[in-house]
Amino acid sequence: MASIIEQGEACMMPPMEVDIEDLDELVRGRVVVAMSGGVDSSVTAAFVAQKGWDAVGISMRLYATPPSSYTKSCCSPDDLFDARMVADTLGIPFYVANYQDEFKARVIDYFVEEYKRGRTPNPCVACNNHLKFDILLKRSLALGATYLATGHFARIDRSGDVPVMRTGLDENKDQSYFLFGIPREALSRIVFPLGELTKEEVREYASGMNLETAEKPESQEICFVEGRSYRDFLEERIKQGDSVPGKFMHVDGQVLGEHDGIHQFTIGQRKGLGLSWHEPLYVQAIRPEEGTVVVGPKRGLFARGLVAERCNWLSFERPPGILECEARIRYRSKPVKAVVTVGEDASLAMVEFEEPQRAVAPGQAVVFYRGDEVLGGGWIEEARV
Amino acid sequence: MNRIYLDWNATAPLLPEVKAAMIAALDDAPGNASSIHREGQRARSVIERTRRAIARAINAPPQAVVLCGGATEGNNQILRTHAAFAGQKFGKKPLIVCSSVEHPSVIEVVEVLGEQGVQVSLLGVDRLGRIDLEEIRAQLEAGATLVSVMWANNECGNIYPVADIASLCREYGALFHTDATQALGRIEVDFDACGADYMTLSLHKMGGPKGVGAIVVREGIVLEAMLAGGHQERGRRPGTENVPAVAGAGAAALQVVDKLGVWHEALAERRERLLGALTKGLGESFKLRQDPENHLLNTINVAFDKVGGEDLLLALDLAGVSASSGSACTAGSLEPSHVILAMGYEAEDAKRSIRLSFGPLTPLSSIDEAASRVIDAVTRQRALAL
Repeated sequence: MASIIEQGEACMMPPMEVDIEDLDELVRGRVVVAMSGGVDSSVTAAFVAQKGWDAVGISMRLYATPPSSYTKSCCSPDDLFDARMVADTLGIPFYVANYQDEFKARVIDYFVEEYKRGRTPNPCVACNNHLKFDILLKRSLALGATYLATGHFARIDRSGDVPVMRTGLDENKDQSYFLFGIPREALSRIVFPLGELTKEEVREYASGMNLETAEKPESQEICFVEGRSYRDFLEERIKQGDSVPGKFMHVDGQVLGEHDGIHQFTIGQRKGLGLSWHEPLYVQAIRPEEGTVVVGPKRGLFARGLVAERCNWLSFERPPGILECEARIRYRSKPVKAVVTVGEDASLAMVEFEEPQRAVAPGQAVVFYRGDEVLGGGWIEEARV
Repeated sequence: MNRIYLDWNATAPLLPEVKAAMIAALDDAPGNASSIHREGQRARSVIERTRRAIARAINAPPQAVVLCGGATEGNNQILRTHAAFAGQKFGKKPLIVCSSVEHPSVIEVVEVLGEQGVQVSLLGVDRLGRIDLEEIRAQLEAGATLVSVMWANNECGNIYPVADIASLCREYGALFHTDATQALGRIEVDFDACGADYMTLSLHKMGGPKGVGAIVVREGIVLEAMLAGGHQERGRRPGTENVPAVAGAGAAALQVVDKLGVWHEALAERRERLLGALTKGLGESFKLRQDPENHLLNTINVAFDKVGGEDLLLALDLAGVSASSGSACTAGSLEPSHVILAMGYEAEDAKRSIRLSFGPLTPLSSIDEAASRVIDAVTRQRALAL
């Protein structure tokens, strides 16, 4: 550590009035950087600050962490301190925005409710849709920002008439799957400075710039479950009487046993069913109305298509006719060729895969691509066998 | 862009006299005040001079002044030792009563004591943050042994009738404590005349250093220490004294003695000017949240119609105006003020409050400039209303 106080600007308390270098007076040119305290968003902030833009760091406080927990999960005070120190090193203003209520309502409660309904939620997409690219974006604009910058590995191509979202160049890190729900009008207000970098390059930049977060390990888990498994997290929140118990039923109609609640299961799951059978059994469907978990052999897991609802389109207001594209049905799976037909209002989409796909899970997102262009996406409602 | 600091109730800029005294102490009084040699004697004299200066500033005997690490520590010591020893002293179970607008260093201690089985009770306030003396009387009838009500509130600026409360407590044989941190240097604080049994002080809200304060104890009352391990402050607050900080506290207290009258006038002028400018720019579209009759002149707790407090604070900071709202948690995010909640505002509404607090030395030109930046920020937030 070089010193406790970086630069003179860090201590602008008394004497009462100090002239600090004039930040960009004008509204234009201000960029809010969403800073989580991780290495990606730290480097994002550094890039924005180095461009000479009027950078402002904001961390979203999404849930409370007990002081006895030293795990550096996203949003713990330690992460916010990390972000604060990075901002201080960069000499940019930094604030913490308290979105705990919104996060609970829009992400945590949604997460639990979806499992209760036998679906497989995607909290990261929900957080992007409702927190980062909705309330944080609006707040950034209210602070006079022209752009909101985040450390996502994705790109916004501004070379054409309208901005277009593209995948991150680092295929291993591409996060476009989580970003399909950004309102199309918002694309012009967003920058992803890391979209052309690899994770290794990001870390190199971070160490080169001596950012406090350069060596910080990657967070992998769902942030708010904090070290526990998400199963334990769910068990704490879904009390008896609130869960939907029922029967295990084989696809051939035979009842194989009973379970305590459909929230314990995900489409495609094999482990932890506690059923003995002459061949491996997989969860093929969950029927929340009667609490039935339908199981069967692997071959029955494949779906020829799916129905998606609440679609959001990034490249156009609605697809021009039938859309031939590639569809990705889970993060990190490879997009596969598909034909998409949309309904009247373009929020409902029927997707037919060229090749049947394994474990299409209601509640997950389906995201449509054409090459590296991210066309849009929607929420999987049901698999079509 | 020059920054304008309107958060004196969080902490005030150091007075030049204070800074000079601290530097002088660092250079000239490096000893341990408990040592008998010359270095120790120098340090000791700094501490005793400060004790006298504080005593003069609040009209108390010097022996009543126990130097400590600030009002949070002092409040803890008074409340916790009362809970522990009241049984022996009064021969009855303690019942500790405080207002629901106390500083967290009172209210949260009272809550913790309550969880530990001590009888405690919180006094409500009305929509203007005022306390009903009859409610205090009822608690005294119920056997209250210690009542704690602050002299002036840090968030809404209300001044409470501490002399009336003290005499009410005396009538029932209960002890009365008041935290006078926000009152010091802004209004006359007369320990002797107010009749309180305990008073706590920090000096950094009016230009003294942080991390130093005092407990003032009425003669005849035994104040037990919370810590063991030293005879300092007659055993009531052991630990080697932070001599430079104590020197600064003394210098701050002397400034109070000299300048209180001038400061009070200066605050009145600044308040009128700031409120006048806001009214001129924004009409009636903002509301003050405080007792219109009894408040500190330097504190303006205000909600602007249709503007969120947190958004406005950030916008103001970016525009070079330092203000505050509620209290920040460790991580720095904002919670609605418990004071405004106690006044009966819903959480969302409470979050609209921001606090502008200035000092007698805030330049008038800064007050004018701050008003204009607030008006701009409010106008823009309204235009961009989410």
